[in-house]
Amino acid sequence: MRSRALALAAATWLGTSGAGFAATVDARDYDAFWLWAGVRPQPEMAKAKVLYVLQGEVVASSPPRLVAQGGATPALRRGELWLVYRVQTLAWTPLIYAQVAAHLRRWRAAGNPVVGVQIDFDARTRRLGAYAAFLADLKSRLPPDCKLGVTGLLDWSSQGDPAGLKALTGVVDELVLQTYQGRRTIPGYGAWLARLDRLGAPFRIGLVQGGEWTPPESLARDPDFRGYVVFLRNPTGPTEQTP
Amino acid sequence: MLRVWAAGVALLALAFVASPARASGDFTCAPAWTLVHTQYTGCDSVALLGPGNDTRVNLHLLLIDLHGGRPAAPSPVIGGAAPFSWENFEDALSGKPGKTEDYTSEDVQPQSSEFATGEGTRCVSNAGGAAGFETALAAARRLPPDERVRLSDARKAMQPSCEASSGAVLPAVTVAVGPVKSSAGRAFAAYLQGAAAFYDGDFDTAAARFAGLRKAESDWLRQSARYMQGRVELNSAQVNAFDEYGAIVPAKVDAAALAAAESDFKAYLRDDPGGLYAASARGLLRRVYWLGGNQDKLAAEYVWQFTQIDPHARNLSDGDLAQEIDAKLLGASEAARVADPTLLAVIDLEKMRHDNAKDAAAALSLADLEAQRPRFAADPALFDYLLAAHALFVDGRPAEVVRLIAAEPPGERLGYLSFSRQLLRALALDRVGDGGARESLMRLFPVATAPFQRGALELALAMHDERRGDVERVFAAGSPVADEAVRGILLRHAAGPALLRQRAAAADGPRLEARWAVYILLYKELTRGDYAAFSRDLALLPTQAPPAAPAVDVSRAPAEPDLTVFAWSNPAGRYPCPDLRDIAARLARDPRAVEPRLCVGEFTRLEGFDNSPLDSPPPADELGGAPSRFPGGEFARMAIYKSIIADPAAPAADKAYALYRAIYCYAPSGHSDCGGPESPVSERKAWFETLKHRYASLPWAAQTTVYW
Repeated sequence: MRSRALALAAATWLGTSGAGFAATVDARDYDAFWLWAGVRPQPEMAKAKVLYVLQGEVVASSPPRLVAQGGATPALRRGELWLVYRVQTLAWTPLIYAQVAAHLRRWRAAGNPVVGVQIDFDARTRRLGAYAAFLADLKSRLPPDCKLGVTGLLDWSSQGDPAGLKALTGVVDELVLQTYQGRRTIPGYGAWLARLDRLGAPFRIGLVQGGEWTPPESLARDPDFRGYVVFLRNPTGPTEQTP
Repeated sequence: MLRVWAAGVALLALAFVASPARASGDFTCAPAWTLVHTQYTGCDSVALLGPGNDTRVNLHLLLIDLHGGRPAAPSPVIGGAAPFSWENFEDALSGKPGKTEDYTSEDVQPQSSEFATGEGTRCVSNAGGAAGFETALAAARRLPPDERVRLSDARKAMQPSCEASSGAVLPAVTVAVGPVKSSAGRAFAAYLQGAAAFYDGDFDTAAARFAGLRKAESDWLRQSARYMQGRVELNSAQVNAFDEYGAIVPAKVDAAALAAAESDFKAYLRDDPGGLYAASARGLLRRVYWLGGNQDKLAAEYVWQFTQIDPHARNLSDGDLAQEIDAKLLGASEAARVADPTLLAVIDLEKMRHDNAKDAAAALSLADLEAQRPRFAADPALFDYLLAAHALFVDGRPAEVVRLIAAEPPGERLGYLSFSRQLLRALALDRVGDGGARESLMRLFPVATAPFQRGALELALAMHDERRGDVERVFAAGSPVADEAVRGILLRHAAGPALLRQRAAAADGPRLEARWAVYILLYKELTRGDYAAFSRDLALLPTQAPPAAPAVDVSRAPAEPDLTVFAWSNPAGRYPCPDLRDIAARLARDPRAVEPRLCVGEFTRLEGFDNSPLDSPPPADELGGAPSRFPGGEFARMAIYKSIIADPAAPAADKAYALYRAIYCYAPSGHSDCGGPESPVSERKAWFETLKHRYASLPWAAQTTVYW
């Protein structure tokens, strides 16, 4: 696994550039969170400015279907809310589009400040072009005042096919780059992030609660950087899944 | 993330690097290529039951065993050798892995609605309820025709959303059914009003209407009303139980209503076990138990699901069941309270997770596991497997695995527990250095036909041969290791020049593999210093361009190596270089020659070989992580620059260029793109000052104004 092969290099880099020690991600220091299935709301969320709430998973059954993953319709009156969909397959049926649209409509009708829809899909870098086409189509089906965001692993910025990435950044309003795989912070994230100048789209960095994070020096200077999103975990660490 | 998707078809792409700069995984989820995973990443599930697997995968594998079947198999082999995520697994098992063609509305179940499957709203049943109502109307003999039409229209007009913001549907329904006067018609009208009140959240009215239908003439009305009484109580129990995030707050659940719901559903199931709503009532009981925090009863319901061979009785696919159990039970469960061996095994495997040897002490202890023995009395094979898994994954005592699990004669085919037992045994034999390890793997191939089993075996066999220094065997005629990703990793990281040369010319392997072998061979010869061999092996380059990828689905075609890179030259560059043949010839005469070495650096820099996977071996415990058989070690452009910077005999212009390149290795991030150990800022500063002062007259100095 390449990311681990890079770990030593990154550790050396962190140690020699004076970037300091990796700090543990404390949710109290952040104001944007993912709330995933099975994760209980935490006090830290009270001051959240942005919440990304998992709503469902598009599973690859035949035909594919949208399986609800969230709780009841929330009743939030503050901050910004994103509906998140975990996606196994891009082969959405007309019904799935209708169900996502209905979610959005119902959440807004209930007074929730929904600003966008976020897609969490393990895009193979070689297929970013196809993914971009899917996203462009999805965007065209969403109301004009609904943003479209995606999650992505760090590879995108450093290893992604530039043409595919360009197609993607033209379509989505926001990328959230994950620095973790499962519940672990990916070793060597510093090296990946150092190459972020290729991204060219507004992005946030996704962290995992209790994971480690030391921002690369260049990050604060990046005009596209919009802040962080912390993936919340239950304190006792049951089996929640991560994007 | 972070996988044999789609039955390995897409995985072909993973076999080889698509470009020199691409990571070894062509997915955002980069798997660790081994069967022994002690921690959860979400990307590293395998067909071997273990702690690193997603709990849902472990559970689904055991459910496949329990339900005595296997998923629909479009081909004999589902799944490749790559560790996978839950999503990849379900995708592969769906029978239509990676299906990309559009589905039309005809594919969708007639009862589908704008609510997602399993959505937590009572309105989810509106479409199905409407269809049932129509059928019941049609069957009601004594209903006057005009009333039938009126009732049908009223039902169709009822489109509740169950949102506080939307208007109530009961008033309109009441008006619509007003003219219905016949006794049969009044019963249907009462049911409609009950349903409307239910969807409106007016649970008292709904309860009263449904209660009045106990003696209705229509069988459908009686059954439906009975079942709806339970749903009314259940919904009434949770009215105020959600927080602002939509999450349930157990303390706010109305316990009395919940108890009434439980009693209603149980009565329904008792009186009409094969009734229309039996599966639904059974499912809603799970919600009752979940809302009430009743872990024991919830677990008992899941165990009941385990015992149902007929999928219709379960009302849930194995995948959905695994998903639900994971979300609703496993996270909240105390192992001490769980009696069922299957659930307990999944919990135990999860508790065996740990990050490293030090953390193993925090994992499930052998004593705690032993204390569970009575609960596994009905399934000793599973318990022995857990003991063996503990020995291998936690305690690192492979000999204990061999003691616990006997070799069994392979049957017709292996369930996942039997497969895991025999595979774990083979892995343990390997670790104790038993000469029979390879044979014990080989015996499993003919019976490892369930999804992902064969891939796991291929990975195990490939790692065995690699670690025995016999990577050639993987590529020998008749080798069962066909997974292109596995073969690709070995060619990239393990193979020596002789094997690469043999694969490049082999007629028995895939042509794509032959082209990658040439690519890897030439790159490594040039960058690891076997210049004479490089010159000779240029003859292996195909004279014709490779065939164009088939037009059907280009995105799935395996990545082609770009063999044209070896025709590289850069005579007009800022640092001019002849072609590689010339460069190699000069280095063959004098490996220390400065200019051609800088040109090797130019080649790798300009052709995108920085951070190449070919120079990034996997960790030692993964496939490809054993010491490479290719002499010379990994290439780093930086090593060339440092060597020339330190070479007193190097010409000034070349030395200045080496300084310039070394400084720019750190642009703009402060992190080197050129491989090798990182240099401290002080060293980078020294390069800069040397370039600016000693070589001030050279253009490279003028172009360098900062360092990183």
